[in-house]
Amino acid sequence: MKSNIILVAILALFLNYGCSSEPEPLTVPQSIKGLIVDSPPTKLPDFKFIDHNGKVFGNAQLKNNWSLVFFGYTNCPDVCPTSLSIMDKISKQPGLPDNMQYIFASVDPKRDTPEKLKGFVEYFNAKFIGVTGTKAEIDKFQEPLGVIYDYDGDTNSDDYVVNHFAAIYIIDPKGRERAYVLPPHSEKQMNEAFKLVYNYYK
Amino acid sequence: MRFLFIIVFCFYSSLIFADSGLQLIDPWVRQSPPNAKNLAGYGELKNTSALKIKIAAIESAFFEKIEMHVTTFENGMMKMSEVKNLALSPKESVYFEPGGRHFMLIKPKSIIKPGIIVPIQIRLSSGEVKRFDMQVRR
Ligand SMILES: [Cu+2]
Repeated sequence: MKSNIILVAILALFLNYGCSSEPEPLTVPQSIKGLIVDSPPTKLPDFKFIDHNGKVFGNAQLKNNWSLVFFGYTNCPDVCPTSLSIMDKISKQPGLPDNMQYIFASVDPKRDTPEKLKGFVEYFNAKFIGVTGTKAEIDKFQEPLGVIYDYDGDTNSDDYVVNHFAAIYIIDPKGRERAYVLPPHSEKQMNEAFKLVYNYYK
Repeated sequence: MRFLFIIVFCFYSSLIFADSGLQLIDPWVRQSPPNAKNLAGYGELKNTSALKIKIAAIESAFFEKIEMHVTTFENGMMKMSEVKNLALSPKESVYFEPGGRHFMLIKPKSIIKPGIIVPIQIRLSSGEVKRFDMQVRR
């Protein structure tokens, strides 16, 4: 009888330990608009993109880094430049981890070649990483992360517009989605959102 | 004689181009990344008159085409659509700003970078043409 109690106690200790790796969900103050925290974090699909230097970019490149990821397309005149210049301003803020990376993922691989991506991301920040992949690889993000997009206009021409989900994702060093921030974005909002999430879950 | 002609001409043209009271306050263009096919311009479009103003078309020698667009977010999905038949009520302001309405500047004919002034002409339904200079900023 006594040994049973001890066994249960030990078991409870183990279970508790196992669960405690995921802390209580972070409470987001109302003042930070658009921040949605995933608790538990969302696993990313196994994916294989190519970066702006032509190198493979996949789950391994997300490991051990905190990443801000934005899906868009380089011909986007209004929202993508706005969100990327906000990401650039965030990157210059104090109090960020050393292992931060900033990723622009194109959902328009037909036009956004690695060379095109290179010119685009480096215009905003020399450290930014531009990535893209085949439609099949991009579409893997639809279900878990809600990355939806559609092409508006003649995709055989050069003039079509891409409507797309325009959140900024916060990916943790285990390569999981920790949170995302809905547009429209501002520097203050993104800065507060990232620091809140990072300081809580680091 | 020539002097008189100029005076008459000025008087005449001021009648034709009676100022509608349309203003574009703080007009600016976001400098584009290299090889961008579309740029966005912003500013406060203001009707300072007591009459309704309708925008018929916008042109610039620096771009192939200019449209008015609006970006909307539906549950985080970014959509861009053309704004047609924009009309401003008396004293109304319509704001063009990042993540909202913008002048969609399509296919630049030259490099658009800070320091350059981009002239645009706004043609009103009355036939009047208003000219504004947009600043290029990063
Ligand atoms: Cu547009």
